[in-house]
Amino acid sequence: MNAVSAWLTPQTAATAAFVMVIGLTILGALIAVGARNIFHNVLGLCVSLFGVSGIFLFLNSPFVALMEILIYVGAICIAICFAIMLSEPLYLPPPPRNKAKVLGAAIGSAGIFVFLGLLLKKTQWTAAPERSTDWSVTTIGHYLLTDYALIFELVSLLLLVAMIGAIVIARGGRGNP
Amino acid sequence: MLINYVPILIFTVVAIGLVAVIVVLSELLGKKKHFPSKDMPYECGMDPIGDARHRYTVRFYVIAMFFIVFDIEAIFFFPWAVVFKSLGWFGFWEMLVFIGIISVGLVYVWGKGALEWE
Repeated sequence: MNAVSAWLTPQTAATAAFVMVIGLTILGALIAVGARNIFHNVLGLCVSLFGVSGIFLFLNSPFVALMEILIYVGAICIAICFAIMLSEPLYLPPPPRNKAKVLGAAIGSAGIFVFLGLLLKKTQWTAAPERSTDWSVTTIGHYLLTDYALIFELVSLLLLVAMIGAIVIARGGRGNP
Repeated sequence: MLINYVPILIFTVVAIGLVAVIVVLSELLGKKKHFPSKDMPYECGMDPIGDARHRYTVRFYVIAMFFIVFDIEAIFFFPWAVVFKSLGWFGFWEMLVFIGIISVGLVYVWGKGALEWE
């Protein structure tokens, strides 16, 4: 009994959760890259993005985690599915993997990995002066609607441009009336 | 704080565990008999009509784009909603401007007939 209660501390639970989140991220990323069925790639990306949103929770930014799930998992992955339905000739069998391409991709990503690793090792990490430790949705909402109200309204302008742009491209580009 | 997410953690663990148990059990206990009508794609119990694998029209993509736009709009309601009471009318007018600007886009899109399927 004592051994169990010694293991069941909040600290170990947090560590276990962190390992799970990292595992989800890496597993999803591997599926996203490795699977042969393109829809499985998208599902892997979803899993990976869920993991990333968990990382944001650990970084104490619940709003960004929420955005990650709603926008990236909820909307972007759906948009990717739509894009696949529009473009990929799914009735064709997937072409065999090109060895040279796989090797090139592996070398390229390994290079980036080593570069980022060295960069992380070399950097002197100094903590930024903390303005606040509270980044709850309430705090963000308060800032967004008072001090940064202009940015808040600009977001809607950006969305307006995106919407009109989608229409202009989709309607004009195909010779529709 | 992180302690608030313990229910989510429990939920995740239970969900993954339940799915794993169901998949493993059905794999172990289930009989694997295949016959043509069983291997057919399930389409509400009817024989499938045609092949599902064809290219879809670009209209679906426009709808997907609108979905993303309104999804991003919706997420900004969250921080607004939690401080709505403390902001009072000022917050109300702010959100009205926000929605108003996006409504311009909606009116434009509607006017262009992009929401009609033809």
